[in-house]
Amino acid sequence: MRIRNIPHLIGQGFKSFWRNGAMTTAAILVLICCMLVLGSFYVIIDNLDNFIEKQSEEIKTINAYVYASDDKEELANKKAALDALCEKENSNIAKYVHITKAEALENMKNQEGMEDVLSKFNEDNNPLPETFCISFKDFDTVQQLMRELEEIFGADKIKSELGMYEAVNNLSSTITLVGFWLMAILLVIAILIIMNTVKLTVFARRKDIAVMRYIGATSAFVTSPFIVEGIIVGLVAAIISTGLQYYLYTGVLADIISGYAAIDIVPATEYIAIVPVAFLALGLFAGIIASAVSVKKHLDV
Amino acid sequence: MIEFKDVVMSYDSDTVALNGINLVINDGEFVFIVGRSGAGKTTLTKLLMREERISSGKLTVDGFKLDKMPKRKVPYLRRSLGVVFQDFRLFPNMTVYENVAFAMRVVGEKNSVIKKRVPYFLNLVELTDKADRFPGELSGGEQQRVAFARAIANNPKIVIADEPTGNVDRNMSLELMDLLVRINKLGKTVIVVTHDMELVEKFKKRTLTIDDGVIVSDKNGGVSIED
Ligand SMILES: Nc1ncnc2c1ncn2[C@@H]1O[C@H](COP(=O)(O)OP(=O)(O)OP(=O)(O)O)[C@@H](O)[C@H]1O
Ligand SMILES: [Mg+2]
Repeated sequence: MRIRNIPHLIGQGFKSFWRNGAMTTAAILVLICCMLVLGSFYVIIDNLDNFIEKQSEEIKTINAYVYASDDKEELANKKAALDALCEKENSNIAKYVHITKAEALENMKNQEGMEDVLSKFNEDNNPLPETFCISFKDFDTVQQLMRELEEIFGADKIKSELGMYEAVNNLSSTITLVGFWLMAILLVIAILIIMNTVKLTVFARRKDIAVMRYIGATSAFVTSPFIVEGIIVGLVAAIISTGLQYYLYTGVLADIISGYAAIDIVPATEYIAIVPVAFLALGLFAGIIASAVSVKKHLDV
Repeated sequence: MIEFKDVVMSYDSDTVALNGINLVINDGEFVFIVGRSGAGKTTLTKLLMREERISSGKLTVDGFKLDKMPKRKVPYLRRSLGVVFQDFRLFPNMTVYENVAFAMRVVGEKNSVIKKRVPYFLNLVELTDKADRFPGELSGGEQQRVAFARAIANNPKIVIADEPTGNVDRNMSLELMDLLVRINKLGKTVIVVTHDMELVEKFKKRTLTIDDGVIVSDKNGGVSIED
């Protein structure tokens, strides 16, 4: 292929984009549909996952209580032991928060309807314990941490919701896994549909391809306008899909998702790095690979 | 030079279209190929441009050894051939002008050259006033002339015309034949497949008769063939 031909080939791509209006429109619509199905599925799964993750973060904690309220020394000792545990190499403690019994009472009183019930308690007769709210890093080795904390605080002063955490965590991984495979299947279906659409648009022009070959056109000369045209189709579809997906997400999906559960919707801006890029990749795949493969079939004349 | 050596070509096990062709056509020759319908004339031209492949034997066209040529060389073989197809094979979505211009673009011709030469060729086949029409809007003979203009646009070494006068009136066919003779005088090899025995007799060139896939006669000057 000569350099001189390149402007012509690009022009030819644009020309046939317009000339085959019905075909290119059909291809764009099919691409947009595939993209929107994939995109919507992705954001729904991601929101669900995000929600569950947040829930599990909240119970990714172990509470340790110290009731010996008068014994300032014991409290200090235990706190020092906990600090030492934090400092240890490969410590499984992400951070801890110390809630004094005064703060705990204050918090409780602030809860609606509790003020009256708790009014007889004050600084001097506060029945609540000092609380260390400990966030752990890794669930797999949390039993080890539990034993260490039990040694410090005593087995009956430790409370956790590890069972719950594990269940929620398993649910999250299941959703991620199922979501991944469903996405993979959807993607394969989308690619098959896209391949087929491109194949059809190329098939409609197989006679032109044959004649070009008969008069001595190289495969590159025949193929490149199709690829240029395919890239235009892919780009247009990706741009339209991104816009539509944005409105679909912020306008429709977000309402539906939050209608089912009190979920904080992941802001659309979080998806800027992934959704348009994925659309673009799919569009360019259709434009370059699918076109080249489809044209290749008709080159051999 | 074109050289067939024991060339056999069968479309499938029942249809042996050419059965043992031995033939040499030298550069600059003018050859008529005649024969009954279904004799194998078009098949022979299809072998030359590698639209079909030979089943056995050897075939050389302008230095290209077709029996063992890699696919990627096919375009360059075809560029040394200018073919007027029996079924025209024009681009239906391109105008007459674009059809001819496109052939030149395929071989990487400069725009300025294309702009100059296309009108020249259209004038040659008397289609200047139809330059902006699409093939579907032309008569059979007019389409044939577009195919003709396209075939010679790239100045090919060998011009092959399959029934180039099949759809035009006597005057036009004589004009097209004159054109082929002129092209031949420029040193090009010209191969004309035809049913028109009157033309063959009038132009008195080398004439090959094919029947049932074999060359049954090869005569210089006009021949008369009993059907
Ligand atoms: N694509 C094909 N597949 C199978 N058989 C074919 C094909 N093309 C031609 N044939 C057969 O090969 C034989 C030679 O055909 P060909 O087209 O070469 O004849 P021809 O001499 O050009 O005839 P005509 O004068 O009618 O154009 C015929 O028997 C024909 O039926
Ligand atoms: Mg024929």
